[in-house]
Amino acid sequence: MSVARRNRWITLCYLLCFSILLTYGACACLAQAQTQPQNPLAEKNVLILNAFESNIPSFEKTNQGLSAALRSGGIDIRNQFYEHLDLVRNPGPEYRKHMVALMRRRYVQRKIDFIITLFPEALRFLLDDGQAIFPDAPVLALYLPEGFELPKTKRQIIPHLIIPDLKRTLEIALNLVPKVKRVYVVSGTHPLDRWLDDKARQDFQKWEGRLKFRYLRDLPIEEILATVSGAPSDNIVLITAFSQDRTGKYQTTVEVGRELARVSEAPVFGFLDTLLGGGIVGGSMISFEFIGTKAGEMALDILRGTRYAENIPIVLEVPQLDTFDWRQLKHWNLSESALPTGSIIINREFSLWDLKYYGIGALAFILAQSLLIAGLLVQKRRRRSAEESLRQKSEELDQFFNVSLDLLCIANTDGYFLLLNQTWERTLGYSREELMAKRFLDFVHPDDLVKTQDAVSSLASQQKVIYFENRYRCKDGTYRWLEWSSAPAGNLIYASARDITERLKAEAEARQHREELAHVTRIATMGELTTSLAHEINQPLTAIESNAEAAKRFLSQDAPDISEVGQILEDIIRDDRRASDVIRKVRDLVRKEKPREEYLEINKSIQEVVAIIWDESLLQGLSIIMELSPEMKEIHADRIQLQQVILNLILNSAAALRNAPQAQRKIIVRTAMQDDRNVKVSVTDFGTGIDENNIKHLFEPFYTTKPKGLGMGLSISQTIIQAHGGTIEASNNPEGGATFSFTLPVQQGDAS
Amino acid sequence: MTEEKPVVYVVDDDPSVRKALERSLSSAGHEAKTFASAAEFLDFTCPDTPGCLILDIKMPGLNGLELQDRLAEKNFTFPIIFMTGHGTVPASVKAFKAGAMDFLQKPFKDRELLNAVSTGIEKHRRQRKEHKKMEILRARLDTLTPREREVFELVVSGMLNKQVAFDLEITERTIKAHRARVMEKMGAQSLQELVRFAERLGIRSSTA
Repeated sequence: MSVARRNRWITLCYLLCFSILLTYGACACLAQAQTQPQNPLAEKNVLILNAFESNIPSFEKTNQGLSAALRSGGIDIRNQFYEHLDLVRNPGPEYRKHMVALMRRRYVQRKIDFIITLFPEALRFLLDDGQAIFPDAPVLALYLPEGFELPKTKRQIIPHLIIPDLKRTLEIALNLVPKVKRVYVVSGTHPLDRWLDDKARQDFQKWEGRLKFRYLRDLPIEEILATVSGAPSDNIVLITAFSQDRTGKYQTTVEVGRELARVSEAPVFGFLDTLLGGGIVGGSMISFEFIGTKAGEMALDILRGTRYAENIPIVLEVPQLDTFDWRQLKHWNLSESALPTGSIIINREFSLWDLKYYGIGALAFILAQSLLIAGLLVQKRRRRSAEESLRQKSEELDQFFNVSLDLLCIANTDGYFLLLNQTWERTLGYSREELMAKRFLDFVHPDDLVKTQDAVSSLASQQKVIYFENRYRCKDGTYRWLEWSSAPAGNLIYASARDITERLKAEAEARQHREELAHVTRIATMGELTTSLAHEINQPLTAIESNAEAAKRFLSQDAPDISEVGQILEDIIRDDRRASDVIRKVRDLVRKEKPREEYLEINKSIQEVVAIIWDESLLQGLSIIMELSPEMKEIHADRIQLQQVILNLILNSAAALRNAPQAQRKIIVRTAMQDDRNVKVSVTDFGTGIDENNIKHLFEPFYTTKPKGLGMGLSISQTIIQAHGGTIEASNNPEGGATFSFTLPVQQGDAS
Repeated sequence: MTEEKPVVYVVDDDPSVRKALERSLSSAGHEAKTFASAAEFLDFTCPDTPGCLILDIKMPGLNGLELQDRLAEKNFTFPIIFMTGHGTVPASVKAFKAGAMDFLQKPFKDRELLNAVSTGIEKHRRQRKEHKKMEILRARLDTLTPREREVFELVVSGMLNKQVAFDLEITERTIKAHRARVMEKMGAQSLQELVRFAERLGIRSSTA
């Protein structure tokens, strides 16, 4: 094949790849834009504290991983703060003091939400010296040695322990190069180098019988290189870590690795992924970038506050990655098939020449396939994003469903619950299974069955929303009042119920209190009227006694006047009824009775009240003038309570007139229709009027101007009128005295 | 003088009580006259016969107590029986002080009413008799000459004829003659009776 032809192939292929990337990339961007409408982490600040200087390749890689991960989570590069403390090269308190001052200067105005430390020194610096500057942000501590004990602090610290696995690299190397006899292990003399070297010696013990190990730690670098360069090809070289040789000469692991690879006659393997690309074959490697990526992802999770329960200790674990250099595999003629599955291969080169046998057909197929795959990928991504958002919505709804204090349910029109939230269990004491096992009507109070059935049939006929109340039986046999709001959807009923038992109980108690108070007040009022009432009863009793004795005497006469006796008996009966009437009226007013609403003519009720106090008013020289409109509509009210109010208002007026001149001693009771829907009753006197300053206190309990008053009359009157849906008010008349008036709604519609 | 038929006057604003009392009184042989208000009774002129007044203490307009006051101003002599109700103690006390004869608390027994009425009428009768006697005595007193009046006063004060003569600077014989005329004119049978008449008339010696 000519060069020109080959170039055309390359061009075609590039075009193809480019178009696929373009399509997919555009769609991916679009999908990303759709799924991330907002960014909750936009204002979060992350600080990365590194114990070392900034130009160490492995930590640059970590920073790259971190930075990319944080950015992908919405933390902008300007919200990421990288500090290289350089503590290892600058020991001593003086330097630390300067560093603290610098940190304070830089961060005292900033809120740091999350801190990532690299190496124990950085963590100690933060906890010892930087506590005041960064008081409580959670910390992810990277690169802690195996067995590192976390300092005791209230601050959340997530450790990342470096536990290097050197065995795996050796295992892989032995698979790739089956006939190995000898293994050279290259390490430096820096404590970190030694630590890794010691670890290697320990790990490799199990191969001691089969292989010869040569540890080159104690040689100067030149000798190490010389030793390795002379090694035969059935050997392998393992480099652990190298910062300093025996003579104290500094050299990075990457440099040493590159040198080793250059001079070695045997393949070189390693543990640190910074070595890759420098001529080594690869191995199971600690990936500094991957650690950064994982650390960044965890930081995002913690900042979102989503993933971890608080009481479970969190640890960041980052696995080593099996990573290999394709070129070196080829160079040493090592078989890719001997690599562990899932291995990462870098620097792979595709030779298009290899593809000539597949021909244009294959390419066309790939083109079609690629377009199809691209389309499918776009579609899949869209679907996944839709599914994801649906799943999130559904999770949200589930959360709401279960946190609701109301009883939520979905039922069918056949009468069974299909879904219930936990509140049902708490409220009724049944488990949800028990509730779903029976028809829901089985739990309804027998007295509420009819209206519940009515509601269900309304819902079944798709009537919009039904509000009603009914009682549900609890497991302990008691009943709870539920207030319902329901909506139909096909043969389903969506319903929300609220337990209003306590509310109803409170209302009933309030009502009972009001009734008792009204009763006590009525008795007190009647106490004020005893003189008058006694008179009212004594009059007919006196007449009865005298009439009866007279009749006896008439009958004992020689020629009794029978018609006169008949007349007397008539009178006795009439007087007896008169006395009974008074007693009945008083008893009605004093009797403790359940309020009984009935249809009333307000004028009649007023006349009855006035009849009771007529006598009393005469005694006080008062005249009660009734101006009752004949046009009054019926009201629906409790007669006794209503009469109590009227009585109270008239007695108040009478009290206001106690010291008034004779000419003013009159009370006018008026009725009128306020409008079509309300009756109005007013009681006017011409007494002293109300002190304007006190007009607003009039209806408060215990407010009184009477020397012996309880101060409950107007308060209870207001309560009664309001309970009947009316209003009560007081005002001074322009011509003197005061007017108290109240309104009550008329009975709507047919009174029958 | 033939015994006059007594009349019982009833003032009560309650018609049924009024009617019942009238029946009770008339069935017991009394003549009863009823009034619906104090004003109505004030307009009426009572005949000069014995009787009594039954008065309801609680009435619209002029009440029982006020009527009592008005009647006192008019030298009304009939005994007053008040009908009281529950809780009228202060009013009762006031009425009693103003000379009320009795109180009947409603509802009272018919017997109590009739007893009170009988007592009242009897009292009024006695009052009237007493009144008449006094009028006779006064008329007799008026027939005495100034000198006989002087002798009368001194004699009933317990002085002997001699002392009276000395006081008036006249002879004892003349005194004796005056005294005999005083006894005759006043209708007294003895000195003791004369002294009683003097006490009734409120005569007391100015020199004693």
